[in-house]
Formats: sequence, C-alpha cells, structure tokens
Amino acid sequence: MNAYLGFVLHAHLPFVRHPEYDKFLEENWLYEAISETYLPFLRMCNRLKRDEVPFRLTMSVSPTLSAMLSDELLQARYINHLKRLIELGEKELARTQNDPEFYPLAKMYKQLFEQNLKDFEELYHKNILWGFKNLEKEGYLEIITTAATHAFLPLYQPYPEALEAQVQTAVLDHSRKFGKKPQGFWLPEFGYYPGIEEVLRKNNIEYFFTAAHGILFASQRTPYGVYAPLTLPNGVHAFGRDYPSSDAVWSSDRGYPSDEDYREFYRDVGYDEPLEYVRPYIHEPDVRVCTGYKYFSVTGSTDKKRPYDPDKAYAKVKEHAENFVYNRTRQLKKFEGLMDRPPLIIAPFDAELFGHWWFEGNQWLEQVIRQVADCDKLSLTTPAEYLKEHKTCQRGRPSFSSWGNEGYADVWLDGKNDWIYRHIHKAIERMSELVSRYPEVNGLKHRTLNQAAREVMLAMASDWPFIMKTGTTVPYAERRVKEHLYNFNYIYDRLCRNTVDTEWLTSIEKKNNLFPDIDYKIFSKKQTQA
Amino acid sequence: MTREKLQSLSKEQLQGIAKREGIYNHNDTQREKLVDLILEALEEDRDERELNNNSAMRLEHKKYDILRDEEIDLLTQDEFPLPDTYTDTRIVLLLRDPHWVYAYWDINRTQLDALKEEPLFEGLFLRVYEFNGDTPEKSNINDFFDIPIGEADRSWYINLNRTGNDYYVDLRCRVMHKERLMAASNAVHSPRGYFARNQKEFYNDPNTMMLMLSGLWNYEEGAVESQEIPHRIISILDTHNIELETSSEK
Repeated sequence: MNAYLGFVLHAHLPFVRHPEYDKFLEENWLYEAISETYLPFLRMCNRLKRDEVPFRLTMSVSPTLSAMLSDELLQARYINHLKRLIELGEKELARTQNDPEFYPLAKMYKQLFEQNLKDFEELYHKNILWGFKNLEKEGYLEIITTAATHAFLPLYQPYPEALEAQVQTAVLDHSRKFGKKPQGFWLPEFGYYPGIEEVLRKNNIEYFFTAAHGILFASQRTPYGVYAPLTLPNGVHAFGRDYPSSDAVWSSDRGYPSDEDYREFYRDVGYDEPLEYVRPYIHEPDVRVCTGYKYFSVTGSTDKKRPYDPDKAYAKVKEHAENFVYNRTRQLKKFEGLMDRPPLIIAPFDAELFGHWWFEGNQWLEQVIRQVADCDKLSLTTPAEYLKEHKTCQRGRPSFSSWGNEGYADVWLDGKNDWIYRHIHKAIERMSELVSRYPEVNGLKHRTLNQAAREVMLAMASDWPFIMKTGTTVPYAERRVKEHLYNFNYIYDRLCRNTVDTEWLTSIEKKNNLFPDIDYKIFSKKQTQA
Repeated sequence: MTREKLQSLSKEQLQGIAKREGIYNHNDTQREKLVDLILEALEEDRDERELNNNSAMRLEHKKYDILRDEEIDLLTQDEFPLPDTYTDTRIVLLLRDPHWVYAYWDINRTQLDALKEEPLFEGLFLRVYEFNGDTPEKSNINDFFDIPIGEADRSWYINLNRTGNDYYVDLRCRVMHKERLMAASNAVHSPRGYFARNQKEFYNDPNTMMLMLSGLWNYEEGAVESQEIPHRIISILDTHNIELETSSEK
C-alpha cells in the first residue's frame, strides 16, 4: 500500500507596524521570521528545484503577514536590521578570532545574514511574496489563506457579519496579492465550529484543516479516520491533522528539535555579552534581545552548554529525516486491509518553527522531501491535488475543536483574556450599525468607515488573547486590543456627531494601512442574511 | 526577566511588580532580596505556563519569544481606556469546551436603578436552558437551572450538565415574587466531546481501527513509533488534549 503525505506550513504573524517609532521591539518578530524561516525556506525550495527533486507543499500565508511583507517601511527597516547584524558579525569575527569553536560560527551567521540581504534585495526586490508566488506558479506550492486578522472564529459565532468580514477580506486580499483565488483555508488555531463552513463555501473555499478530534467526534462515524478528508453537507472538505507525524516534531521533550546536538535557541550574544558591547544591536533602552548569533547546542537540561557543531547537527538532521520517513512507512503498514484508497497523512505546522526556534528545521524538511522522493511507498501531495484524484470522501460534519490546550477554546477564552470579547463584540455590533446607517457614502466618510472596519478586525486577532494567556509581551497585546477598540470607538463617536477628524484619520490610516481595498460594507448584516 | 533588568528599576517599580506577582511584605524587603523573589516568582510563572501548554501552543509561543525581560506594564494611566459597561442590556454566551460556557452581560444603568427602586426587588439571576432542536422554543427545552448573580457581576463561567446539547441563557430579575426577562443570549451547541463506541464490536471493526489509528489508540496495542531506526519513541496520542470516553454511552 502507498500513502500520501501532505505537509502544510502556516506562515503567520500579527500585524505589527509602528511608524511612530524609529525602532519597535515587536517588529523583530517579522525580521527574525524572514531571516530564519521564510528566506531559508525559499532557498530550500530553490535547491530542490535545482536538483529536480519533485515536491508539493501547502503553505498558508496570512493576510497580516503578507501585508507586512509587502510594506515598504518594514522592508526598509528589515534591510537596516540586517545591516546592523552584519556589522555585529564583523565585531564578532574580531572578538572570536582566537577561538576555534566560536569563530567559524560567527562566520557562518554573518554569511547567513549577508545571504539574506542579497536574496532580499537582489532576488526578491524586497518583497519575498514573489518567491512564494513563483513557486506556486511552477507547481511546487499550493498557497492558501486564513482569516483576515487571524481571529479565533468560534468565539465570533454570534456575529456572522464579523465571520464574513474575516473570510471575505482574506480571500480578496489573497487574490490581489497572489493573482488567484485561494482554494483552501487555514482556520486560525484550527478553531472550527459547525456552521463556519457556510461562510467558507460562500467565499468559494473548497477545503480547510481541523484537529484530529474534530473529525473523530464528527456527526457521523468516519470510516477512514483522519486519513481521508471529510466532506461536509455543503460540499466543503475538512482534512484532519495526523498526530504521530506532527508530534514527532512538536513534542518539546521527545520531538526532534530537542536533540542535544541541535542549536540552543536561548543562548545568544545579545544576552551573553556585556551591555556596552551589544547596546547598538539590542532594543532601546538597554532591553536585551536575541541577535541571532547563537553559539551553543541544546546539550541537555544544564546551564553548561556545549559549543554548537553544525556538522554534528547536520548528521542528526539526516538521521531524524530518515526516522520520520521510516515511521510513516511503518504507520502505513497499520492501514493495510482497512482502507480502499491510499491514506493521506496531513502534517500541519507553524512555518516559523522551521528555522526560528528549530534552527535546523528547514534542513530537516529538505531531507524529508529528498527521502520521500526516493521512497516508493510515499508521495507528497496537496489537498487540492488529492481532491482531484478522489472525488468521493467520507461524509459528516466535524465537531467543535481547535489545536489548543484541551482541544477547544480554553486558550483564547480564559480568565486572563475573556474581558476583550465584551468590547470587541460591541465594536462589531456598532460597525454593523454604521453600515446600516451609511449604506452608500464616499469621500472622507467612506475612508473613515473603512478605517473603522480595519480597526475592528485588528482587535479580533487571535494573537492578542493567545499572548495574554501564554506570552511574555502581555502589556503589548493588551495595548493593541485597547488601541484598536479606542480607535474604532473614536470613529463611532465622531460619526454619531457627524464630524470627522481628518488629521487623526490620516495618521491612523498611515499606521494601520493593511487591506487597502477594504470595503466597510463587509460588516453588513444583510449580506450574511442573504 | 533578567536580574540586570530588575536591578535597573526603581524600588517603587520593583514593589509594583512584587505586588502583582503576589509577593507579600514587599515593602519591608531589601532591594536585592526583592529582586531574587521576583525572579523566582517569574520563573514559576514561566514554568507553569510551559506545563499548561500543549506542544502546539508551546511552539506557537516561541515565535513571540524575542526577549527574556518580560514586558511589564509600569504605566499607571491607561492610554486607551475602555468603558466598564455598555448602555444596552444584553447577554452573550460563548462556548469554551464541551463542559463550560462563558456568559457576559451588560445591564442598562437606568433600567437597573429603576428596578432597584421597585418595592420587593429580590435580585438578578441567570437561567440556563438546555434544549434540543434548531430553535430554543419552549417545547424543545429539556431542563433549566438558575444562578443568582450580584449587581456588580458582569460575567460567569457556567458548568454544563451534559455534553451534546444546546444551551442558552436568560438574564432575569425577580420583583414581587415574579420573574422578568431582561435579555436572552444566543444559543450554543456543546459538542459530545467523546467518541461513543460499542465495546464488543471494537476489536474486530475496521472502522474503529481507523479511528484508533487516527488518535484514539490503546497503548497496549503498541502504537508507538519504533526504536528500530533510529532512537525515537513517539506516542501516537497526545493524551493531554482529548478526553477519551470508552463506554458505549455517556
């Protein structure tokens, strides 16, 4: 028996753009992801292409991330960020010149940053979305979308107009940026509730992904489990996540990334060297941050870390890739006699895992792809490709589920973050009210209403309650929710008084400038009732 | 949080953080000792967060992990104030998991004041209805229970009697021994949250075997990944995530 393997990488970051500051700490989320994940991923794909290795991957690019990747201000800031790190690399080469263990590492990192700069400026002309788009055109990637600002959709179930706004905006934005409509949809955090598929179908989405228990606890028995999609009553398909394949990578104690020979994420020059030395490369005022120059390996649960050895790590990459492929073929044996079609193993991951936290992640993925190409029992596929070959599927409707702790909404609805929903829901109600009150406007009022819609959607991002529950930048997340609600309420109050503050509006439009084609009428209640 | 960062803060700021971290008698504590206590408390917080998160959440958290100096809000004034409550009386119900819903509500201040002035105003309460069917009509209601609430309460986590049912909640008050409806919530459907199966058919049923391979697996059957090549034992089931139900009916 043969099987399909479907890797799904979800590339997402919340919209973080602060033109009001010269440097802004949380913008580093983007810079680190470009340097450590997205550019290395594109290089990996190009190596595979060059070597004529067949591969097909699914990649979800969130609208907030694509907005930042196409933004000129952030592109320019990323270049400055790289230049600063290359400068730090010069200093590191001088500082470690007599150290046979650290000097080659400093050299390696500096070369990586230089390569990133070269690729970013010369190959992609500052917009790496071109790289993804070309790979899709050439048939290597299937790019899909996710909710416009990555809202955890089950918590907006009472507000269909907000769900419609999230899905419709994402689909339109994706079509504009990638030149084609997305066939698939990554439900943020795999948050599914029965009924959301109607919004997806209305927007011509053909499939989405769900947690395994969403399929297992479906309305009807699912004879293929998660190893074939589930066709919902309205024709949309749900693909379930396979536990063993993702756990091999995800598990923090047993997963591959925790191997002692891999690079340690938490030891960084930004923390290890004196403040005077690293000051120009960290955040003001003297807030130590990671610089990317990391010289130690995981080693084990000890503070005495061994120096990182890239050759040793690469040997582990190959071993772990071999193990992953081997275990998929073993998994395959268990399906014999149970399925009348090749099983499909869906392995979804946050893209930023590969390269950012797990430095060797992209190398591992590359090795897996190369080994699968040589394996006659496994082949890579994408959901759309699978659906072309297999028209009939098991039927049913998944159960409410997510991939968060306990499998439901516990992460995004908790004592630490539940206060936000009262305010966001009210903003949604008011936004719909504004649509009814101003069904057709133009000029300044139109701009104002469009900005109001942006602000509501930005407040809905799942990242903020997630950080409030789990994170280290809680005050930032709280401020972001409050700021977007404040902006919305300010607009609402002004419109109630029939005035618009042009100067203020222009400044907010310049700051929160995503979704340039947004039409505030997406929040129309009539639209969802139609 | 690094020691270096804490040492750069004023005593007042340290005391503010200590208070937030639940460190008692912080006003009399020496500065260095206070730094130690805060570091310890923050470390405990981090460990607890790490423990409480499943692998998906731990990984997702890593992408925001750019600094070890937790951002601590030292602002005394709220830059973007939000209203405590809104003027209309409403109640909204959100499903958290198969056993819990979160209800929040607002009560129009004037309406509440008027109610309180009425003779024999007895108080506010939530009535939680369990029903089956598409709409929460009277004929579909199976059961209900009441939760008394105070005037200052604004939200409540409600434990549901049974999974696999529909629920909605009324915000009500009792005046002169009579009940009045103030607002009704949206309805939510609590999922079954388990896979019901017949024990007898289990071992021979290929369909059930597929479900077990998909995650509902019996460890004794050996569905762990092999050590043959090389070195890994990965359990097939992330047991922390899903409640497993092995009886045929719940």
